Amino acid sequence: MMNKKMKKIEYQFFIRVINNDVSPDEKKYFEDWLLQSTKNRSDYRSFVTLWEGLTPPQNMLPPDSHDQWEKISAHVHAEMNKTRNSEKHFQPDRSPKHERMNPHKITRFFFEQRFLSAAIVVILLASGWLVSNFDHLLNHSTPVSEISMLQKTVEIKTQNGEKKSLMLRDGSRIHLNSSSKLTLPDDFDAAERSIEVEGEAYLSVTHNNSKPFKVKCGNTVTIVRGTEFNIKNRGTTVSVVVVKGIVETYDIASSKKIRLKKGEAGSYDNVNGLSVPKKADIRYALAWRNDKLSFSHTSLKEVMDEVERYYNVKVVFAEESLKEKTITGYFNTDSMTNLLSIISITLDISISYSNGVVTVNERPQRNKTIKG
Amino acid sequence: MAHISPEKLTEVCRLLKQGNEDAMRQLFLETQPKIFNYLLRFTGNREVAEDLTQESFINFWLSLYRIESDHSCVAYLFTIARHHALNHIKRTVRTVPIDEEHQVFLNGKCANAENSEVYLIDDYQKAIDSLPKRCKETFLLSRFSDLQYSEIAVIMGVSVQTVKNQMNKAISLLRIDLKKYSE
Repeated sequence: MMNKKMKKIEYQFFIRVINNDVSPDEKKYFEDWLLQSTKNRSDYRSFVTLWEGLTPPQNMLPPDSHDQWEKISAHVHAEMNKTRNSEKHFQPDRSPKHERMNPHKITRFFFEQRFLSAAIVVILLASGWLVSNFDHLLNHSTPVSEISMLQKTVEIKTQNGEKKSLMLRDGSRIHLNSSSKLTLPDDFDAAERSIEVEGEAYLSVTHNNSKPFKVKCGNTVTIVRGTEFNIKNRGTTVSVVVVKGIVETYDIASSKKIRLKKGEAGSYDNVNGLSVPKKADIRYALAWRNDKLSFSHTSLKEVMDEVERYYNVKVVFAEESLKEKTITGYFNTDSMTNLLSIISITLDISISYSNGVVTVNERPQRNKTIKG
Repeated sequence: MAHISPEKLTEVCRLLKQGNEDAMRQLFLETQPKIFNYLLRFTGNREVAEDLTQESFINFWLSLYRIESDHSCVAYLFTIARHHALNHIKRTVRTVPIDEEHQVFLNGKCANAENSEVYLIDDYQKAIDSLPKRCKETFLLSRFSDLQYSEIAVIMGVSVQTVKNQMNKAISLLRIDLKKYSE
């Protein structure tokens, strides 16, 4: 399988690496082999691309397993009853007629001990084609700004108060708002381009007609070819705002879709499903990218969630009912105290801040000065 | 997708032999996507692959008594699926020349979305279909079953060395055909 000179590793070994079926020694050997040359790394990389690319595309997903199970189960039961009724021994006659395998051979084969380990391996592998632990090595010569597509999944997270911008290998750019997560599968850009977003992101997708770009977000999938749009999933609502081009957003459960054009917004929530497209306020939707916060009839609860993410503070509501108040506006974010003071004036409530905790309360008495 | 642990599958296989239907269901849920993908790449036709998946499982269930050991269910399942696929190909070739089948697709109906959902005609499929027959068979088994070469050798009725050779041949050929996908 591997020769001592570390010259060439056979495909069979690659397959085992992909299936994570290697001993610690072999793993070490493989890591060394990868480090040895760019050629080795690109050999392995292109093999993985080939191997993974053979997975049938999304429009060829397996049939619904529960439906199919019902059919199979019904069929088998009918067959078994037939056999029973005719008072034969249980000896189904539906075994493959073209079964060419010699019965003795089958018996011997299935008896063999090595099959046990093989079977265990099979199952181990079943849990994922590509559980490679060698990704860090493959990234060796990759610029940091590029994401290697070889990993099983790549996760990019932002903390509260943090934003990240990155470029994918296909040239698409993604700006990730705070407290968000981007997940790229290993086969991103193999047959199609697909990513998953939690939280909020602005995407500028490079045009490629033959490889649609799919963004999973909450219970929706948005499919685009080349466009710019904002996608957001905070709480139970997913909202999509299109800045350029056209996108299609699908409700995964019902496969219903809406088509959104430039300047339109659509949303999805778990209760009502997809909304109809409506005119979007792009300035509001993209405020976060310019370090602004924008709200449009937004509940104070959501506003404060945003404040928590943005300034990395904790917000406490002394009075639950205050969460329902709503705010509309476009705010500068340079100073949290200013922002909170504007909100408190607008809503006629008290907002105080100390030791990383923002407390929202009723105003104790009318005509008193606002706490900042 | 939830996956069964190795220990669990061994147990599932043991229960299968006792006619435990729940075990059969678990094995089905676990392996159905693989069997389907295997048959889909084998035949290139979604509807056919769906039917063959169903037939394969029915057959597997009804012929469980043939399995002598607790640990052989996955290999046996793929053995059956392979025979179904081969049989289908034989039937198709006899009744409808493959070219004709493709013509139906090419003659205007390809614009029809329903039709394009039936046939898998991506570059990968073209590359697989252009492999020599045995080469294709060996390769697909390895790709979708996770079985070891020794097990594939038994299913194919050849030596392990032959499996290795076929695999190397398949991969080299596919690499040439699919060059543009791997830089």
